Amino acid sequence: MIKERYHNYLIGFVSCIFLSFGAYSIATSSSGKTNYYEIFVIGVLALSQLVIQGIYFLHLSLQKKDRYRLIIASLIMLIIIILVTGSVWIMNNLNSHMMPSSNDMVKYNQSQDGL
Amino acid sequence: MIEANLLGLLNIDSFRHDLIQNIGVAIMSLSVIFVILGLTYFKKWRWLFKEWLSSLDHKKIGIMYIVVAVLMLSKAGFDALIMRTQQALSVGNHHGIVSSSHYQQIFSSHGTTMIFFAAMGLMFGIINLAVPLMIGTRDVAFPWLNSVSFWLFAAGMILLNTSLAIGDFSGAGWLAYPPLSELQYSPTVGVDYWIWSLQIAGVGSLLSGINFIVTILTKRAKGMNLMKMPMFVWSILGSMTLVTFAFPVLTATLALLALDRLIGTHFFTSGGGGNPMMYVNLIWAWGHPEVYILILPAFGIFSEIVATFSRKKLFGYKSMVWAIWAIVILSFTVWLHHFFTMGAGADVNGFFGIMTMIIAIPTGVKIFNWLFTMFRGRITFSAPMIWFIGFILLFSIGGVAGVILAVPPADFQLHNSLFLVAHFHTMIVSGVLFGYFAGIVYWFPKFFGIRLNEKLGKIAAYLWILGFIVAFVPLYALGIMGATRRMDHYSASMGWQPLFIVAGVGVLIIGSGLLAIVAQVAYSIYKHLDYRDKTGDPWDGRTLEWSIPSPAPSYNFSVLPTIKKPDDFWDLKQTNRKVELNYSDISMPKNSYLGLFISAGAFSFGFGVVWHIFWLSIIGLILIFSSIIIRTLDENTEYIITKESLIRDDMKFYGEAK
Amino acid sequence: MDNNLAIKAENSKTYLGFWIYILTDCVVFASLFAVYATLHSNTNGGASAQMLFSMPLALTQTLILLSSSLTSGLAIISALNKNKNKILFWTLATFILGTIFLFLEIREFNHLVAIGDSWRESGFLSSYFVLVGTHGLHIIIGLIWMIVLSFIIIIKGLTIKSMKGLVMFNLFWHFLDIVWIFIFSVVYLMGHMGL
Repeated sequence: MIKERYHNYLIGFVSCIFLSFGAYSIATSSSGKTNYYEIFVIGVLALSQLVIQGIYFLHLSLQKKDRYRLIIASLIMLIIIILVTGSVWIMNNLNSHMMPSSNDMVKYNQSQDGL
Repeated sequence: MIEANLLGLLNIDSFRHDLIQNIGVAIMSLSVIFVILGLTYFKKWRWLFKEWLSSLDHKKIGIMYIVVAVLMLSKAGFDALIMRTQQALSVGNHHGIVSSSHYQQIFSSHGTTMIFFAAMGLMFGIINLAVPLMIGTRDVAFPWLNSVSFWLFAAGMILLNTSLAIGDFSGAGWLAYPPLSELQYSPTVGVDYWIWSLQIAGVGSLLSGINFIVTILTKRAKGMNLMKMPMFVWSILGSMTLVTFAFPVLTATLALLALDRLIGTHFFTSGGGGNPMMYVNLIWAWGHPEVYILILPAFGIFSEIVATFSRKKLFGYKSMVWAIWAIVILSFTVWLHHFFTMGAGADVNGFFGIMTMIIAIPTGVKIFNWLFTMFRGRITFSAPMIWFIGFILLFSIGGVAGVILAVPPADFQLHNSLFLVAHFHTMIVSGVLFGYFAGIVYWFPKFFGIRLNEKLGKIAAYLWILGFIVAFVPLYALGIMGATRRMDHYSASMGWQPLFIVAGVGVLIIGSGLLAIVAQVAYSIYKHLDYRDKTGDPWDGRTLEWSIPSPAPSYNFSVLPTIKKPDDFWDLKQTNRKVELNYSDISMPKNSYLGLFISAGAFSFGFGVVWHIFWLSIIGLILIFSSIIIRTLDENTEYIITKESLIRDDMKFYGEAK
Repeated sequence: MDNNLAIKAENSKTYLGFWIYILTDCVVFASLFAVYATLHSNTNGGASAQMLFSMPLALTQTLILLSSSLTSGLAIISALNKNKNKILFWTLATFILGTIFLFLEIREFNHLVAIGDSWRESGFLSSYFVLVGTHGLHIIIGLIWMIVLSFIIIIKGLTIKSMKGLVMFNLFWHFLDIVWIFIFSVVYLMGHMGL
């Protein structure tokens, strides 16, 4: 049991190191131009670190004694996803309907050869 | 930013106010002096501190919550009276009784006080009183934390009321939308008072939420699995889950607004790359769940009351549980309906409009379940039932108005009109408040050992229902006629004055309803010998709290119960099942003064930040942290109640009853 | 095994309560992330994420915090083995790593303020400072907690109360590491890629 925990910590630690380096190398080798595919991969790597740490560091499992911890954690994750994606969706939508700032309007007009 | 002055921004001008406010300050200071003199005269100081202020007993904490909440309810009720008077008088050339800027502070303070200190206070009070008894335990999971929660709530309340006497209060509405609430447009300390009193009380609520989730999950009586819990406990589990999910958003949002005002960040400023719309988004991501935090306990109370007074088990238990959890999740998917008009596209508005209509379904399920519980029941129309009838009538009307508002095109017409004001008052007064009043009347005998006078109770309920209709139906009409909220003056040609006068009369009727409640309690205490509850089960109840003596002893249950069926106590009475009583020694938490110290620390911290007296804030923080560390080092936190004294207490109560 | 104090502490209601508290803290950070996501392009004509952040520094911080997460886990292993000195040793290791992390973060903040990119300059910088700063504030609280905890363990030994403190601290520290992974990915890496 103690040995198993010890191994869990080592597995978790090593895989997190690998994932961090992976994400880092993707980011530093990118061209500097926004590439949504790469950003998606980095997001997935971060989420997998969350899952790995949950299992190996916080030893969440499907056992009965962990039931409440797991249920509350999943509920909160659901709420966080709703909150963050909802906020970003709403705010982007609102921003896109905003009248542009005068600065942006001048730029836009210049780019359209309007003025 | 950091002033060299020892007193920060505080100076003699902070104490100068106009006439109406001075009267308020005088009333407040006189009542405080009166209470202090009374305590000294009757030599009750020691009793107050030993028996109440330091108590970790959940029942005493619950009663203190209710006392504070009733005080705040009356205070914010006065605000309402001033607002109604102003709107009834301030027409054409007449400018009413308060200035515009003072009027702004009054409506901000009315909303803030009512939601955070009256409604939340009553809610936590009732939860504290009832939940541990209903699940058959002797105390909450973390008794000391419970006392800290109450004292943080009290510190927030005191900070809010300090604003009446020292400085001013926020004039930016109960949710303080930026950019109006930013330093540029609200340069006085009013908004800071608002931020920090909510922040302190909010942390208290958050800790309470955690406490009650753990209590319900881990401290239920033996045999009471989740699906055997009383419906009230289910609704509290839902409501407290919402507290723990939603209040952190409030904490973060308030902190960001505070940083904008304190250190010059640009989160919600209109310039400098800030975005005021983000504040509105975040505050409603907390604010909408907050509505359900308040209403779910009221639903739970009515579930108990309807079942008890219909002498039937609750109809559709499982569907009720599912409805609660559907509401918990869905309440996080509708927050945009508070700002349809901010300018999101048809896709976003449409989505949130539809979600809002969907959330009405689980609420409807609950309404029908109550009606079916009453169907063919043997109904007793006691005072709690009168509150329930008023609730179901008005709440349905308010709910339908809400579904109208959920349609974005309709909302564009009705947004920020008095129609909206009437809608949410219908939900919060006739939903939340009626529920809590019913709960207090229902559980009063359990905690004070006396029943309340039925006649005055019914009069109070009828007055509230009537007063509510008279006060708020005109507002629905005015809203459709175009009257907006937060308006301190209007032109006579609008023709609104008669309806405003009717609404003012309604507030007076509600006020007399509040007086009737006070009279009910006072009369019952005066006649306490006649109204003694000698059985411990005055309503022929169904749940565990009625199985113990009234008033409930400090340890609640002399022998912890074992549950076999849902509504086990009712089953016990029906089948004359025998219960074995195996007495043994029990340990209970000792009193602690550290909650008071933390409260003092939190108040100093808040007051210091509001007035930029930073040494005071640091002292406050040190006080808080050292209290926590002292508590962690304290090993001697419990005392023993012996088996013999438990038996003696039980013999005394039940012997008398026979 | 079930009599082991550390296991008992992990199955206590205090631990469950603290778990819920940690989740509420997650919501605080989620709100701050949402704010960052909304404001990160509002540079107000000033510096953007792409121009400001040093990638090697961020990676170093990540590795330090990850290692401290491991050492705090090893303290729990030592608690399971009832080895008081090893608990103190691993807690000290965690404390040192945490202090180095905090030092690097403060140095970065100082540098940013010195080159004129403080939180007053733009919505982006405000949200950056507050998101990362809130994490730093938690680290400070964690450091203080470690000091108090070590004293309690030294004075009172391995009691159920000190074990509860240890497992709760461990949870707190793992949580801070998880939050940092998201700060590293969203603020630093994605910022570097010009999102």
